[in-house]
Amino acid sequence: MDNPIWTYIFGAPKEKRLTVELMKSLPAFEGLSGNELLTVERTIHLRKYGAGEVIFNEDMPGAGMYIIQSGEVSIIKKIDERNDVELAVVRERSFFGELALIDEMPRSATAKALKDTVLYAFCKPDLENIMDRNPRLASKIIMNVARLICKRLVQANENLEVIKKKLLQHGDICEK
Amino acid sequence: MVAGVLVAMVYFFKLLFAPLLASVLFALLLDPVVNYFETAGFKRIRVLFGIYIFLVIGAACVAVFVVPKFISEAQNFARHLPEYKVSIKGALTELQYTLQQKLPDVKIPDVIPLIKSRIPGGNGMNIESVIDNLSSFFALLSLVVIVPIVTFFLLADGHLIAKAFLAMVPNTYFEMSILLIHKIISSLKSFLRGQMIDAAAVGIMTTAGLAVIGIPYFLVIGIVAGVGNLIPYLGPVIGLVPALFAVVMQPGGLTAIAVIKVIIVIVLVQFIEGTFVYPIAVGKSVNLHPLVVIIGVTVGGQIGGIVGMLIAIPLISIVIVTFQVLHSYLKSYSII
Repeated sequence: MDNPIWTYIFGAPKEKRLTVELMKSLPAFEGLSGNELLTVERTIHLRKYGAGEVIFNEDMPGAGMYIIQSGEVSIIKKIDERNDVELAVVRERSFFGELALIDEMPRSATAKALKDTVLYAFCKPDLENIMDRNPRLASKIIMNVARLICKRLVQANENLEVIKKKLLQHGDICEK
Repeated sequence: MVAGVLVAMVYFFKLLFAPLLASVLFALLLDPVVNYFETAGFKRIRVLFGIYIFLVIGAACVAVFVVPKFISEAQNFARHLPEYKVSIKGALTELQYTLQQKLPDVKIPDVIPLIKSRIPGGNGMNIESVIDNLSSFFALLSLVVIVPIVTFFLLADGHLIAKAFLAMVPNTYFEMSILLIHKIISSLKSFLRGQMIDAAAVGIMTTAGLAVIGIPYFLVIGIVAGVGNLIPYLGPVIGLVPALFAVVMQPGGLTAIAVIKVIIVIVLVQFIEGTFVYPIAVGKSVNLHPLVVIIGVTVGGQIGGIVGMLIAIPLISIVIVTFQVLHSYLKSYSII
């Protein structure tokens, strides 16, 4: 039953239930009913990555967000040709890459599996398909993603303020 | 054994290629309709059954109201064919005589046997044999059984088929593949929808225009003009030639006023189509060079006759749309 075609034909109720449970706990799918979660579950893609395998590369067009069922993913940003910096490590029952759901702009960082990782990919075309068939559900997801982006923007602004203050203090010290 | 399997595969592929292609095209055309009703809160499967019932009723209405008219026009045409043959033969002989008179030094060949030799089955071609050839058992079976069934499943579970295919794509190419497939399907959907709207508009306008000026066989000519419009540049000619032919068949025969009226109708239809319908329905998604059109139509005609000519340009356009999308994505993923 490993063949995806048989899985799609005969279904896998237990796996489905687990996926729906996982999705329920994520802010991107907050407020979705059981049926709506099942609709999303039917569109998402199960992907398996080996340790060290790249999920997506920085500067490449983004296709969508990933939910981690198991494993760990490192988010890496290129500083220059030789040096990278690890921005975050995303763990089980978390997600990343949600900006690509809204826009196909190039990825801002690279995502790499730190160990054997199972992900659910929910891509922009999947969201657009839902939009065509169930705009109410699509608008709920988009609103959730927008809220997440707003939160992160506020957080980024706060971080910027802190950095600004630190730089000003550093500047004062240097002048003295 | 392997050779046998291969031969069987090629045979089945050849057998199923046309019905599968037709099913994909129908699915792409019907998908927005199904989505529209699904958005309104209906279950997809119920919408599909509803559409199928509507199509059966529509087909029955066409069979009851349009087909008899079409058959009567075709029968009328077949009945008058000997007279038309005589009239065209007379006109050609007269033309040959006039040319010979005006150009005594040039040897004008006998055009009638020449034309007969160029028309496939020209010696003894009749309507019945053409219909017999067209409605072969499998063509009918595929049209009535295979196409509706495959279209139904593509509309009901098309996304699952795409999902199953994507599950087999290696991780490195997953994101690129999903974006690419989505973009190609969206482009094809809008292109096909636009072409269908355009063809229907030309068909309806030509039928109405010819009916108003009292040209016989206006319905058949309108359908031919609509379908022929799928071929850019040649579309207007495809509408004009049978219309002029119909003028010859009129009781009054060929008159300058009748010809001018037909030309005005065809030009007006083409003006409305080119100015209002085409830019909105099709846009500038595919702009084919006239040379590509001529080569495409010629090759299509050589391979598949009239049907080949008709599907050559839409097929080339589909391939071009696919390559345009493929090229831009492969470039953005730094593959080329």
